[in-house]
Amino acid sequence: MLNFLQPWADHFPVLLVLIPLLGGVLAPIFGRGSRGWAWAVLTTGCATIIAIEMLLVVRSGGAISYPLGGWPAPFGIELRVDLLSAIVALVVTSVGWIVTIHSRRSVQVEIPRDRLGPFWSVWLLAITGLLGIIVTGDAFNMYVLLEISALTIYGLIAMGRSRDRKALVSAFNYLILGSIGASFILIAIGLLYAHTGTLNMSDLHQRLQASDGGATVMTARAFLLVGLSLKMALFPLHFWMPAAYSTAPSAVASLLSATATKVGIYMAMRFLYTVLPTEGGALTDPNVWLLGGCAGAAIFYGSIQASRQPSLSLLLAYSSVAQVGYIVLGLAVGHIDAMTGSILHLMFHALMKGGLFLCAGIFIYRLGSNDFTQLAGIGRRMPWTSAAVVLGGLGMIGVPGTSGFISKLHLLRGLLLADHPILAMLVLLGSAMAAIYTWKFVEIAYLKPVAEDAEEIREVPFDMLWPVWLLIGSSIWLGLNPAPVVELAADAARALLGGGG
Amino acid sequence: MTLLGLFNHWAFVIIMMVGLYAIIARNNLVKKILGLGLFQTGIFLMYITLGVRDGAAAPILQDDPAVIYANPLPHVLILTAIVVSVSTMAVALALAIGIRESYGTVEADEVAALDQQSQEVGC
Repeated sequence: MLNFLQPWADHFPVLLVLIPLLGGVLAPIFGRGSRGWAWAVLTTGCATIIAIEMLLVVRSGGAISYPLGGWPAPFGIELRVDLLSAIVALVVTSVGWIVTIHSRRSVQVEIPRDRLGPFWSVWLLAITGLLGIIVTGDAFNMYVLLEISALTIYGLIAMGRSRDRKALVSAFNYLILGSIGASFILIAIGLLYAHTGTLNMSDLHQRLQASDGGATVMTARAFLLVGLSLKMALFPLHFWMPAAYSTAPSAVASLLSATATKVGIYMAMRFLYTVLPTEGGALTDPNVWLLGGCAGAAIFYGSIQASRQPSLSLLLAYSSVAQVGYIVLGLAVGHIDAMTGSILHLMFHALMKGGLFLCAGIFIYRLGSNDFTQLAGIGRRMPWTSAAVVLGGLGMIGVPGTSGFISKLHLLRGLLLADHPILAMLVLLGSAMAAIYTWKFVEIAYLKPVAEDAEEIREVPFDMLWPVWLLIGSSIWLGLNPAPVVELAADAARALLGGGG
Repeated sequence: MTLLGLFNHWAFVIIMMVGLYAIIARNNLVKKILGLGLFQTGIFLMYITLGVRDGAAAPILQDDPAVIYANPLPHVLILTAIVVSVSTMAVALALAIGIRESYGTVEADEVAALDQQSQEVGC
């Protein structure tokens, strides 16, 4: 551990939320120029360092419990960081940091100048909400933080209006659906409280496990499943996502695809395995079939839709619908290998999709849009960006040597060992269809001739390129040296399936 | 428990469903937002009902241990949820104003038609 952080070690969970919160509140002071951006980079950077240190602490010493304000759980609000939350926190902060570093230029182009100060403020507050969801151990607290992150995200999406006025409509639709989803989660938390009289998550789990369940818990479970599916954009409740991701400012789209959907999935893991009663650490059959069926359909539908979209942003957004399917598939069947694959895919997909959406943003920065008609022959005109898209696409397919291969391998093994051959077939089918939509980009970028009336364009500056290559490169590097990460994910999966954390 | 004993629960479900119906069926964005408000108000009623006990007084500390009092925790929780709901409404209305500014209408079908048009022109 870094020495100067030693005295603060006990307070890591709360610092992880406080730092971006203070950063967000102070951001408007730094004005509209690059100083606001520098402040956001500094803040997210500090959060990343804390997340790394926190992961090391949890790895060596087990889960951290932090009683907020000194009130002991289950009466006060408890912050609780186990291995899974530490991993997701690291994913959110590190990818968020790299996306922030990248987006100095693209934000200046896409956001009106007078909104730049508030933009960085809202950006940091969104990260605050997401990190809060990850570290909290209190069900109602999680609802409030969910709404904090959601409200700021609606605002971030709507800031795409100066490029495309459709951003307003997609933000509005997302607001309606997101609020319904969050309200369902609120109802479920109320019902669970009515049944047990506690809001602390581990306390809830113990009491629910001891009680016979009954109608109240079953109703709560139904509300939770629908609300969480809306939040993580699981098919058939995904339709807000492609619209929102394709019209949001490009920096926001990469931040959301890498962090917000992942946090939704984290909430699902948390609620299904460490709050609601489980059957010996696994979900009961109806849950498995419901989630597995939706996830399978998501893989199929998302991959088909992705290959028929007219722009790179939409293609990536529909591919995210499919990738959410993979992750949910792994968490539904409840086999240790499948859960490991699910957690691995959560990490790797954040790296790959974050990087890919940054590339989509680079095309918007240079060409004004990333419609495929504009991208003809782009492989020769912007070689570094296009190569990054192709490498990221290979990761989506799961070609050996990329990290997508490692996560899908564990997922497949888990599905087969848990006796779900049909779902395993769907994973393979989805990978084949990912090859189709990746090839679509290759064909347009490298095989089509450049339009004759096209303007002269150059590759973007190095300071926009290196964050992309850092994300894509690290996803490849982790695919070649997977052992430590796999071990980490397996430990997290074991803690999750063992019940409690 | 009699059917009437669950009166509040019936009421909260009906209010919620009226709100949900308005969100789905109304074309006007502002009416959709009102529907969302109604939907969330139904949930407030549910939480307030959770704290009720027969013959209970307000939860104020008294010397007499025989006094039973309503559970204050759900009420505190719902105070937070009301604040969240108000902020959601504010953001939703701000977006509706933005839509009105750039499309000149707040009817969902007209907005969709305008988007369709601009897409055809764009191609």
